[in-house]
Amino acid sequence: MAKQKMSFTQGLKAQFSTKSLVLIPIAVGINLIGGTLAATLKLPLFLDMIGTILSAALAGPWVAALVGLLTNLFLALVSNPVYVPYSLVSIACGLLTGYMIRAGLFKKIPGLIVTWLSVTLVSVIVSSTITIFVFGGATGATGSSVLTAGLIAATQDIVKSVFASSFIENLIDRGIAFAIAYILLKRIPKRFLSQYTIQSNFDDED
Amino acid sequence: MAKTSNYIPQDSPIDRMHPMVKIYAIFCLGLSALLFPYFLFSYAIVIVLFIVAGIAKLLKRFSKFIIGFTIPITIMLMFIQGLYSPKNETILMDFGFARLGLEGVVIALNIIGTLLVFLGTFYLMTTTTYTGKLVAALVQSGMSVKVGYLILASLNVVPQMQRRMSIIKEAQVARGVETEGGLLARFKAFIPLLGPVVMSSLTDAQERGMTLETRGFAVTGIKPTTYVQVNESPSDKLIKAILILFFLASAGSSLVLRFVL
Repeated sequence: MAKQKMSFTQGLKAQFSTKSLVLIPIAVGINLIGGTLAATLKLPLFLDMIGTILSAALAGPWVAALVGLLTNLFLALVSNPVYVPYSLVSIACGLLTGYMIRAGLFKKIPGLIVTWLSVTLVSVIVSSTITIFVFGGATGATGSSVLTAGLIAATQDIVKSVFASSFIENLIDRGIAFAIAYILLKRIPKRFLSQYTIQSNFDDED
Repeated sequence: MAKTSNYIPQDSPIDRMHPMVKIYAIFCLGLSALLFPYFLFSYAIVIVLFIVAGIAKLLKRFSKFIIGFTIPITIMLMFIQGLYSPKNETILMDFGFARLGLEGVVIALNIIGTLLVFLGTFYLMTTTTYTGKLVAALVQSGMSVKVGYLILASLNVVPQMQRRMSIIKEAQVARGVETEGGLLARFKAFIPLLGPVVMSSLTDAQERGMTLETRGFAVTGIKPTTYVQVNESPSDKLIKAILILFFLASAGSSLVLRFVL
């Protein structure tokens, strides 16, 4: 597909068409449903990134970033305002996933793994920074707080412990979210994909 | 099961207040608490917030929220900062395996105080403001209508999807998908449950998109009107002015306290 090179703002405008705009609430919904489903099946995970990944693949990085932001704002409105500062993590993950998919990394499994690892790394860095600077080490709201506390008692180092506990948590969670999103993307009908701007980036077969 | 917002409809002066004033309150009070060097100041604001919650007839819920947030984070931060903060010099107590330092405790109290002010005002804002009114006020003060649509649509879509998911879950269970049992079995159930929800939601999104286009959603150069009207009363203006003055006063005095004295 021969596409003309667009400037950054033009590209941004093309991403936010009405079609992408309606996709955003749906993707936020998928994020939250993933979380509730994980809770109802009593899985020890969050899985609240599936919608962000799907929207990154369908409509582009900035749409995905907005999906991440809205998901966190929604969680803050409905359950706990602690989620507001962590919207930065979701925004960063959305942008990174979107640009990596645009670079063609979602076509093959090794690329998927690269995306997964780099998203994990970025979310660990951003979320640990927030945990340390905004909350002073732990929010007390999640299970990983206990892990952090245990590590601090063992290593006597706040920064290292927060990073380690967040890394373990994110690696597993993001990995499963990426695997599920990848399987789902493969199943979306081609006819449906053709309406979005960057559909040519992950349909590798035929 | 489906909860779309924290809003509790109640006839109180706080409920009638203009939503923008409450947003100003979050930032003015929160930033003041962040800047001021002594932590007692933040706790004084929290006491004021309790009075506001009383006026809004939400004292019980507000107390529950504050206690539910404060107890776990206090234990965690006392442990992390109190025992292991690198700034600890003055030792308050010796437990043998670790020592409780004064500096760490002060850091912890500072963080908790500031967070309580931010989260408390945010909680009061969400419990006393109807989301439609909030979005109308934001659009009125210059936010794009499209962003307003996004916020409201997200709030409406989620309960819809939750209903759809419970239907799909029943259908899949009827087909023999196991949703209980070992970790692996529960995990295997994830895709057959999530897949149909995602696919049907995406088709739904396509329909929504077309519906919005036919109603002129993407038309530019017109002045949109909102169904929900928000008016600013004189008392709203007064409260806004007081909040801004309060912020300037506390920011000024924190500068003096931090750098001059």
